[in-house]
Amino acid sequence: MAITEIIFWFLSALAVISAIMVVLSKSPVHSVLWLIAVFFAISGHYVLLNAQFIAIVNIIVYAGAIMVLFLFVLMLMNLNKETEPQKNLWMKLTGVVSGGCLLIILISLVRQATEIKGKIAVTKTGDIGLIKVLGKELFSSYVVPFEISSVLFLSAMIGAVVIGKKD
Amino acid sequence: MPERAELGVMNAIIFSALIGVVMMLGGIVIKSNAGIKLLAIILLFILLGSHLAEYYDLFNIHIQTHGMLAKSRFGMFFNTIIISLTLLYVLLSGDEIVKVGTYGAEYFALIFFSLCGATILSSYNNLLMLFLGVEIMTIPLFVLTSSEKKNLKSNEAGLKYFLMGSFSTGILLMGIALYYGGTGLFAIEASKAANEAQQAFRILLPLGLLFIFISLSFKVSAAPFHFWTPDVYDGAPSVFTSFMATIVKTAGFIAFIKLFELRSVDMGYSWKILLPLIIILTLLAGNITAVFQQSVKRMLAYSSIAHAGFMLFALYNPNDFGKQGIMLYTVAYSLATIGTFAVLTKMKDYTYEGYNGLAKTKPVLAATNTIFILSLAGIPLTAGFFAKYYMLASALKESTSNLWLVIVAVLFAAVSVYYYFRVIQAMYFKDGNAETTEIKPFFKTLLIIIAALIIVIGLMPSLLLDLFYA
Amino acid sequence: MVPVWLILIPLLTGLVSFGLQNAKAVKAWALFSTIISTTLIIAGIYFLNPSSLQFNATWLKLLGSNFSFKLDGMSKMLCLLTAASFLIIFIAINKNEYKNSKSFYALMLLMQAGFMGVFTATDALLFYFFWELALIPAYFLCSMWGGEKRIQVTFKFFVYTFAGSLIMLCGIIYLYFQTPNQTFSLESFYNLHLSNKQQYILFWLFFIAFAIKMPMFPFHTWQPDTYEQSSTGVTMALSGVMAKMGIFAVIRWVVPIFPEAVNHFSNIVIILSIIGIVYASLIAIRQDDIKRLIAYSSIAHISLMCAAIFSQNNTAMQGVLIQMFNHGIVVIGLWIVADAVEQQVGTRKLSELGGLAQKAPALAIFIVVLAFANVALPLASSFIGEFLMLSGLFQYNIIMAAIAGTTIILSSIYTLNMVQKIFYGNTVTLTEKAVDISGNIKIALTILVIIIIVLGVYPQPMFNLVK
Repeated sequence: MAITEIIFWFLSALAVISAIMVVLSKSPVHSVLWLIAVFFAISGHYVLLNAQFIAIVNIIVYAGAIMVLFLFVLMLMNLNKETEPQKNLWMKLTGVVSGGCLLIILISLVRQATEIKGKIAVTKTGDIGLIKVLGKELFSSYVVPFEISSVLFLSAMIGAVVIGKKD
Repeated sequence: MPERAELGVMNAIIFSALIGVVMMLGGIVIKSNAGIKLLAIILLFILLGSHLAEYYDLFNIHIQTHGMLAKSRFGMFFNTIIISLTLLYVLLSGDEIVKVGTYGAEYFALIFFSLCGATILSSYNNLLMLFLGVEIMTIPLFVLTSSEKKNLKSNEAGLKYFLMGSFSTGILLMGIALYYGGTGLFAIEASKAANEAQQAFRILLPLGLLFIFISLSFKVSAAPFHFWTPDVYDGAPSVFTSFMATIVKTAGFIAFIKLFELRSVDMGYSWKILLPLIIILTLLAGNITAVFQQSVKRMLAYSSIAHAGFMLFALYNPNDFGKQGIMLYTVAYSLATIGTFAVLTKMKDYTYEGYNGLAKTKPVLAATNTIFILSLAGIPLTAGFFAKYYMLASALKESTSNLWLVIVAVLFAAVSVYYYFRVIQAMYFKDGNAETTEIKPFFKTLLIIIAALIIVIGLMPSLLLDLFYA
Repeated sequence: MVPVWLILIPLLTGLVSFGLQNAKAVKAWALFSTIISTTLIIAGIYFLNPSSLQFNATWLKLLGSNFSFKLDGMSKMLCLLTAASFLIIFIAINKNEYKNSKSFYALMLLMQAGFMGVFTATDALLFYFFWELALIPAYFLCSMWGGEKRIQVTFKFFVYTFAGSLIMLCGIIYLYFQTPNQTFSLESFYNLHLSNKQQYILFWLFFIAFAIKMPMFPFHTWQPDTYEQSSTGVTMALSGVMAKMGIFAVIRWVVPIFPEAVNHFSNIVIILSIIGIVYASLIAIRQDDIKRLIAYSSIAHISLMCAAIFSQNNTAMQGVLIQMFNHGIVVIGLWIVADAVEQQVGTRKLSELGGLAQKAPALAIFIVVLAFANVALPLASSFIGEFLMLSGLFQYNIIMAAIAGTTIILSSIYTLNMVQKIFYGNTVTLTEKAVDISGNIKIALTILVIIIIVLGVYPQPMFNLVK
């Protein structure tokens, strides 16, 4: 068993277990923390696939920004066991059914997909996910949208100041 | 096509973005409201000048755009129109803009950024640019809508607009992703070869286009995606409603037409069923609800939905009548709306009763407002008539079987007379003492100029359209 | 150039009147304007070179619409009617006081310009423009001056006619795309070869607009209210001239363009018209208000003209053409009388009036002549017109002609009943203090009565004119 294989299985197990813990843990804050663990595990997979850029973006955006936002909201709302809304049985049942349907569809899709039959994941090869390649693309073919998006951010920042600042 | 698409980005895009930054920084140096307004006007003149310099091939900045943007006569002419309209709008309502809150310079900067988005929408050649254009245009508007911080309604409107806007942006992104799945390209002129390679995923392309269609319908407030419009237009400070209802809305239509003129074939027959349905729904929702309003501002919000219904004709029939028509409609509708909103912002009471007897207290305001209203209603001798005329003609030119659609549309136009003329009735025939804030002679002069423009275009629309072909 | 001047004179003088300050000056100015118009049209008919009766200039090159006008027989007569009517109206209302009189006269003149344009335009888009241009001043005139309920009533009138004309606009655009080189000119519309199905649809698009304007049953509901509520000077213009726009437009824009459809639908239209005639006459008998009575009587007369047009023969058409002029003259006379009575006594209710002949003998003489003309007695001008129309209808269908003929009997009932109730019998408290009419009304009525009698005895000039 090569080292990559060991890491792969470790990350996969971590991802699945953390995902289950997100659902099972009683405190919402714990759920969010488990979710962060999921994102880290998935980012590890990206690194294995030689997609460094996506791995980093995944950590920065999801594990970083969005999760912090989640935590903020949870703490501001001060959720705890007492205020947790009681979910009735029907709600749980419908959740199981709809989730189960999605699972069935995904499994059947993977089984039918001819493109991936008998193939193994390509690790450590390919340069699509490298920052260097991406940067080149971004500053050649996509330079105009890249530059113009700065206007978008600038106006968003001005907006935040205009709305947020005290008069 | 590629040669033209490769080179050249429009001056208007670069200048409007840079000018926005200058405006913002200007706010640090200049403290007085009058100074800020003056700076905005000067910068707008510079923007117009730079755009015209490119229009007449005197000077433009060349940048390799890799087919992201494409210059076209249509887009350039539209930019001329919206920049001029913004100039007129700032001249007329500049005082009100700086009065909304404490960030005069920032408001103007946001208007410039929004304008930058509009200019991108008139020249995009790639769905990425469409996405950026839509966002750059609308994000400043979320801020402007909620800029009246002390007013709860303004805050509510801002939040509503933001939520709805983000929602429709999500749909737009989804649509673009599906489009990419269907064609393998972001360019709006996807090549045939790419199409054939993707035969397996053929359903993705129409589905993607449908999503984009829904999202853009949100932006131009076509029914049944119009529900945000009245609340947002009503809640936002009146000066900014004026900007939203005119320049931003028409830019949305230009984006709409640019994409679907090329790609509506991919939606097949469903396009011919879907769009008339949307047109009729929009006319119905806008006109019928407007009848029941008590506030002029809210009525104008609904009437802007009704006008969207007419402008959709150009999307349905993008022939030469439709294209000239949308230009004419942009000018006619925007001039009249900017004018009538300018009068509205001067009123103390926004209900119909608030206009009672305006003809006696402020005859110039009443007379010019009458012309704006007549133009909105599409009465001959005003620009609004030819705007509507071109839209109807575009439908009948495409196919005579559209006659029923045209008849339905004119019947709704007759309904629109009902709520528009209530304003005229209030101003001229009802007794009352309409109160206004202080009105400067300069403001009156500008109103008269706008009214005169409306009548001149109403008599000789060729004056405007000749420029289009010049 | 004559048609252009006919439009420009009232248009320019109207715009100038907005700027005049003195009420007297405005009245004189308006009178002056209409005298010039009348002189011009008379000169145009009898003295000027026929080539001056046409005008052509490019207007909207992109759209293929021209600024083209032409005075043919029917237009000449209707322009003469318009100019003369406004002259008489301005004489008759000279003593009336209107608040903000400069706007009143200005709008009246602008409306006159609209009428002239409608009657002379030979380009469909231009025609549509003037059709609306006549409507906007009418809207303001009716809403600003008049009775209590004027605002709502005028609004109904405006929305009705505006909806109608928008539907017509659809038809115009449709025809425009059928013409080979995409123009709006009347001639190219005449040369179109439309299939029957197209004609059937387009016919209604045009006809509804005109039927609303006339007004014809069942589109007439706006008319009595509007005529009653608006100031009498305006009502004169509306019923004297504007109602003729509908008839005129049917003759010029519907009959030649959609001959097949006219043939196909003539029965329906004639039946509707006859229903209108009988219904309006019966209601007129029951009216207590003078103005409403005249309004319903006007519906009956106009409906007869409409029925005559659709009987599609020359006799009836001749009758319609001269009756348009005659009805305009007579109905304006009746309105002047109604206005004079109201000014004198302060009420328009027949039940509250009586014995006015003793107090105002001159008015009584005029009303008797006008009443005879309204009933279409021989020697009055309307007789020839109604006779020709009914004999034309007779050729078309005997039963229909017979029912339509009841109009003469019914109109004599309500007209003479009105005359009797106002002028004869004993004086009542209201009419005790009444005095005879003033000089200006006498002049106006004298002119009208002379025209009525002259044309009644010797109608040849009218036939020559419309030939």
